Amino acid sequence: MSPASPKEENLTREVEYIFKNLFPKKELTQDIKIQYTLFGNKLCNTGNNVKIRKIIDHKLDVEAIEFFLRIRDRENILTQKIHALIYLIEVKKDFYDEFYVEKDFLLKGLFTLIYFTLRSIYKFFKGFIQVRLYGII
Amino acid sequence: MELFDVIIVGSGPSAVSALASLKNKRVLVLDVGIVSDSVTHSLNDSISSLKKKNEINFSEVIGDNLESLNNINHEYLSPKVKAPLMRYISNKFNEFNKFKTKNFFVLGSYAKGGLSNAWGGGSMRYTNEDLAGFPISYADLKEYYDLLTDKIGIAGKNDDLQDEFFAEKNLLPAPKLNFLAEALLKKYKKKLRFFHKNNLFIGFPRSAYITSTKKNREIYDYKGLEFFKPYTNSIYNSKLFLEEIINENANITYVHNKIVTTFAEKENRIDVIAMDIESKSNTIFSTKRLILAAGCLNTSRIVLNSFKDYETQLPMLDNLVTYIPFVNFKFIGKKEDNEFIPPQLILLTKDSKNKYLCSMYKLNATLCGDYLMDFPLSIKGTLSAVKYLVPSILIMQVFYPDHQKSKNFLKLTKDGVIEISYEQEEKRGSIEKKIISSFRKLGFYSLSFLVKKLQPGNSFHYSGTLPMKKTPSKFQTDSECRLFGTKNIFIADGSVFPVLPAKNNTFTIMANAMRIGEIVNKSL
Repeated sequence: MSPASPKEENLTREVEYIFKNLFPKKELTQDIKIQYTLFGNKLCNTGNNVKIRKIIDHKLDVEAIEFFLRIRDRENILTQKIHALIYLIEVKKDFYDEFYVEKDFLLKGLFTLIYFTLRSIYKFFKGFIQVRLYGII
Repeated sequence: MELFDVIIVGSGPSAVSALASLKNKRVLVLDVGIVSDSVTHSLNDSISSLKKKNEINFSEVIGDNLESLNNINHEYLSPKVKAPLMRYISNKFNEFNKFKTKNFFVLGSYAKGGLSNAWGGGSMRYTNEDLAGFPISYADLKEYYDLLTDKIGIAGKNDDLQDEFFAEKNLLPAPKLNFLAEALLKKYKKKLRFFHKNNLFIGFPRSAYITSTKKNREIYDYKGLEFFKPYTNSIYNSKLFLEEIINENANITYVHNKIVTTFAEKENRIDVIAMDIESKSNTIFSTKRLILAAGCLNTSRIVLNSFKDYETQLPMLDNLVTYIPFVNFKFIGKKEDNEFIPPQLILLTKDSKNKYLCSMYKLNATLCGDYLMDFPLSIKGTLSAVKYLVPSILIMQVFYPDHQKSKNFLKLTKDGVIEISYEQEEKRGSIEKKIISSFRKLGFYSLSFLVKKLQPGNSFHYSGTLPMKKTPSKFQTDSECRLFGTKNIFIADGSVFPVLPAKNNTFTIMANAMRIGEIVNKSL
């Protein structure tokens, strides 16, 4: 097995941080890391300047920053990478319960949606502050 | 050199329908004919069930080159041709054709069976009202519609839409409805008076799906795999019908790997020049009659190239599309029922100017990643929306009619680039407002700002470049679809539609192609 390049090491570090931030109770498997790295390598010349490294170094809220950036410009590289990660986990059995319900949950569904709508508003402002404070873009 | 009775260019629904009328003649079918090389696959259950069972084959669903992630950072690809096993549909087309487009999305196919490999199966007949700009009427097409209905199998129901789709005896049973569509139809029946008064009619679509035993074809076992799994004989695909005709008729020859570039009509024959996609060498085939049925974009290229015309702007038509998402709050958090055929229901509505046809779908046939980022929520919020909100979401696809406009055109440049410009758009939004306000009565809610207007070209109903006219002129066709200025060259695809009603055009293209096939047959 050939040693990972510095870029691949960065991508691995990146996916570990993003994953832990979004799914703290789930396990990041090696194949997701490899697939994420494959995607990351294909993104090399996008010219986008979101400083993901700073997010990791300062242990910032990646969900909040991504949401703020997505509302401003959906094409940003952080949104693209998280979008790719979602595709990759979507086909894994371990994440089935993140996407589907197994029985009817009308009230739970309603309250969850209201909670996440309010939470998203909070995350937007949190993302805005962190982006400005730490010079993420 | 062998002289064929007829050469047909293409293998899509129009080519194969024309061929069906010419079985007793010596016919050569020239085609590029790309086939999927992945005929064995493990997609034997719905994507959600495979996920649950941990049986997703990554190469087939996402792809070794992450094909399904294409739309994150590449030019948009329709979900119909995006998944790894579906890439064969459009791959070579983009390799061999150069486009320069303005406000227009292009999808073409060099696959065996053409775009029928990605067809949703909508098989609605055109009424005389729809055919108003055509030099032919419903009576000219009726016998071919009937033949096709019998041959390919159309599922549907004689219901509130039968004035529009015609009452038919030979329909296969309508597919079962999912919980959302069932609720919608039940409420609609209670509010009939209001909906009829407002020119809104809801009913089952007519779809080319096999829903009860028909010859050797299997009943469609719907698993929501139409965006992932190629070829099933339970839904119409012209490749399968082409192979059946070729197997049964020794006088029909199929030659693939050929891109037809030009034709030249001589005194007693037509020479057709075709390039081999591998060797790039040209071969000349000769015929008494030529039927171009390669799809509007290919056919237009061949015709313009043959006349060495790099100036003329041919009219370009396509049904504009908008999407309206509706939520029925009663179904939030409901366990999904994935096994049903799309589209579930059709809405027909009119305003003072136009008629609109709207198909209703659920979001179960694509990967969640395809739409997840459309929710204006943080990632954890979008995941909760996918889980709890998506079961209650119904997507309505609104088709707009189209007619010739001077600024919407296709032309060919000297270096072979197809230029398509689509500047004059219908104003979109008012019909959606009417639908949104009416659907509240059915318990389905939406807001105008959520309406998504797709770029022109996204219905893939490209038409109208060589329109049929009563008295045709250059780059037009007569009522028999004979190209003006030629004796024996016929056009059998959507290029001949002078107007484009807001209805899936494939079934009418097929019926018209059968009619042309018969005209050609009688002329020999």
